[in-house]
Amino acid sequence: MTPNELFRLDYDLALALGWADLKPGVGWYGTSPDGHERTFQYWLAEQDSLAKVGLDRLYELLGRTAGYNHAHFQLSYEEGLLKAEYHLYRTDKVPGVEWQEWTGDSPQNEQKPFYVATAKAIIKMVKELTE
Amino acid sequence: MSRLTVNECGQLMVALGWTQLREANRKWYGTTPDGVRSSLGAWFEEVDNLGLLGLKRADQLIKERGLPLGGLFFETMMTLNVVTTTFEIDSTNSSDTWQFSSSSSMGVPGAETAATARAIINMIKELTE
Repeated sequence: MTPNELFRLDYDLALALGWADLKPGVGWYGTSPDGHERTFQYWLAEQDSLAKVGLDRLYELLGRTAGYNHAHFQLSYEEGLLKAEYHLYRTDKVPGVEWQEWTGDSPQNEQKPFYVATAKAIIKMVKELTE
Repeated sequence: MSRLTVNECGQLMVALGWTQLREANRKWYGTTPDGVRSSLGAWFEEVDNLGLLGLKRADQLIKERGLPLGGLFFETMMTLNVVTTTFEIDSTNSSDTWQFSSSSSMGVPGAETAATARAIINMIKELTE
């Protein structure tokens, strides 16, 4: 992923995580979901894990629709490709059967492969759930 | 479960292949697996994800020991109050599956990191015994 592509991914991820008024600078500067103006990358560095931030966001969006059971995040790699997946199970559908999944991937030798794969999965997930 | 103790931080470093460990003022220093002198805190800031590090380390040990590897996964599951992380190792030549899990209360700062670190410590202990 080129620096420009990574910069664009940061922007899409910030939007997916509920940021607003984003302006480019050293990174992206904007308004976080709790209404504070700050730099997105600094905020992200303070979070425990992007995987958990994505799960938090998923639960937040699901809160508006009843009947979900649980969700989880999974990381695996095979043949040089790292795969990040969010899986959702819903109680109002067939119990125990997966309802939806969102996947992102990145070559393992890329810089920050976890970040890239997980960000892609979060962006897809939020896009689909908010359309 | 609580945050990682100083002792557990040391165990995590050993599990991830650090050598020449030294503790000073409740902080750990040592040599990283790629041979660089560093502190655990500084290294953590550069690390893309702890779960991924655990996967890579397990993969390396499994290959070194010649174990038949079918699949290797890291999973984070979150309920309202608890985050649980699990490493799963699947074998090719049987239906054997090994799972190493740990949970942390969501109220604890660094909950996922603590759960992941404990799961890594247990998994690597098992793979190196």
